[in-house]
Amino acid sequence: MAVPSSGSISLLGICREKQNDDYTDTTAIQGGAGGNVVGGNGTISLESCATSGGNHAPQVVMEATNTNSLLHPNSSTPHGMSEFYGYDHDITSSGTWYHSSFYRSAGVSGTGGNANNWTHTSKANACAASNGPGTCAQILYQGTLGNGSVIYWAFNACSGHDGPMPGANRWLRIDSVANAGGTSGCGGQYSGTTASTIDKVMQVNNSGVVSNYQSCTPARVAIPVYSTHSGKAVLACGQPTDTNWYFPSVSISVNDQVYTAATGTSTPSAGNYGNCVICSVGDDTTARFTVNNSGVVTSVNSC
Amino acid sequence: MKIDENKIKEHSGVSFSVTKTEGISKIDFGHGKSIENVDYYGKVFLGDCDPCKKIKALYNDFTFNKILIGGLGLGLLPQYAKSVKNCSVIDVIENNQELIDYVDYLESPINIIKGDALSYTPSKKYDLILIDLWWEEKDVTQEIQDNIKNNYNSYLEDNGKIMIPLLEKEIK
Repeated sequence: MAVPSSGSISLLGICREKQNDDYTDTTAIQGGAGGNVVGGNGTISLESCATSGGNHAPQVVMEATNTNSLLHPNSSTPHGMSEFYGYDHDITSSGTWYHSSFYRSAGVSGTGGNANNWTHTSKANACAASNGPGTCAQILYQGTLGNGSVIYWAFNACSGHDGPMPGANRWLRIDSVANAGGTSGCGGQYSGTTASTIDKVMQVNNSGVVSNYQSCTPARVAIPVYSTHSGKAVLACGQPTDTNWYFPSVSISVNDQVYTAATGTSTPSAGNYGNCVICSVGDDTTARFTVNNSGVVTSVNSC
Repeated sequence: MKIDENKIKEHSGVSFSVTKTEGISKIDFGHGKSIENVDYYGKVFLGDCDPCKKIKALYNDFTFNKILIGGLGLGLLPQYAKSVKNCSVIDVIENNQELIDYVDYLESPINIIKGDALSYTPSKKYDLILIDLWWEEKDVTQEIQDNIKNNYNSYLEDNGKIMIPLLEKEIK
C-alpha cells in the first residue's frame, strides 16, 4: 500500500513505505546502516527519507527514491512530508502516465466520497451517458489500459493524483482528453489518452483495478458468407460466398449476434448459411452456421 | 447435374408445390423446407464437392454402381447418380404418392419404388444406400440410425456403405 494521497500521514509510515514497501507494514525497519530503527540503533528523519540519509549518520540509510512512482518527493530542501503523498516505493512499471476525461453520472465535486458521481451503475448507463466531468477532473492510468490496470483519479490537480479510484465495481467510461471539463488544461506531467481507449468502458473496484474492459459498441468483423438460406444445412457447404456479414470475431461461435450490415442495423433471416475462413467474397464456403429469428447463431460446423 | 428445366412443371398440390423463379424450379414442402433444381445438390451429397471435406471423405477410395436412395425430392440425387456417376442400378424409395406421380421425368435405369425408406426390405444388394429424408440434423436420432443399420446392413455388397449425408456420416 502506497502512502495515502491525502490527510494525515506519519514520518514512521513514510519510512515503512521506503524500507518495507508498505506504509502500514509494521515489520521492524532495517536500514542500510545503523541496524533496526524500531527497537534498534539508528534514527529516521524527513531528511533521511527524502535524501536516503547517507550523509547524516547515525540516520538510517534509506533506499533511493523510486521515481517510477508518479508521486515522489524531490531531494531538495526544504523537505516536506506532503511531498510523499501517494508515493509508491515498490511500483515497478515505468510506463507512460496517461490522463483522460470521462462521462460522469452526476456532478463531480471532488474525489473523496464522490466516486459514484464519476461512475455508473451499469455498462448500459455508462455507454448512454453524455456528460463530461464538467470541472477539472480526470482519470489516470499507466501504460496500456486493460484488465488489471489501475485507475487513478485527480481533481483540480495538474500533477500527481489522488490515489486509486475507489470504484466500488461500478462502470467507468473514458472519453478523450478534450471532453468538457478542462482536463486538457490539466495536462501537466501526463500524456493524452490514446485513441484506442476512447469510449471504452470498464468496471473499477475499490482498489482502482480494472475488469471487464470493453467497447460500448461490440466489434464487428466482416466474414464472407453464402447468404442464401439452405433448406438442409450441409448444402451451405461448397457454395460461393457472395457478401460479407458481420460477427463479433473472426471465429463464428454459438450465440454470436450476426448483422448483414456493418452498421449493425439488420440481421439475417432464420436459416442455414455458409462462410469461408480467412478468405475473400467469391471464395467457396468451408463452414456453415445456423441462425435463429433474431440473427443469433445456434450452431456452427465445418464442412 | 440438375433436372432439365423443360421437364419440370409448376405444381400446386396437397403436400408440396413447385414454382419457378428466374427459370429455376423450387419444390416447397412448407415451413421453409424447399429444394431448388441446382447442380450442387447431387454434387454435395454424392461426394464431388471439394470444399465439403466431411462428405467427400466418406467417398474416399469408394466407388459405387448400384445405389438405393431413400427420399425422392425433385429427383436430383438419382439424376446425378445416373448422369454423373453412371450407376447401372438406381432405386429410389418414396412414400409420397403425390410426389411419385409428379416426378414423371426420370428415366431408366432410375426406378422409383413406393415404400417407407425406414422399413423397406430390398430385393437386392447395393454398393451404396443413401438415406435423405430429413431437413434438420436433430431429427435423425441415434435410434433412427440404429434402425437404418439393422434394416439395410444385410443388403450391402462387399465394402458397401450406408450414408446419411445430412449428418455427413456413414452408418456402420
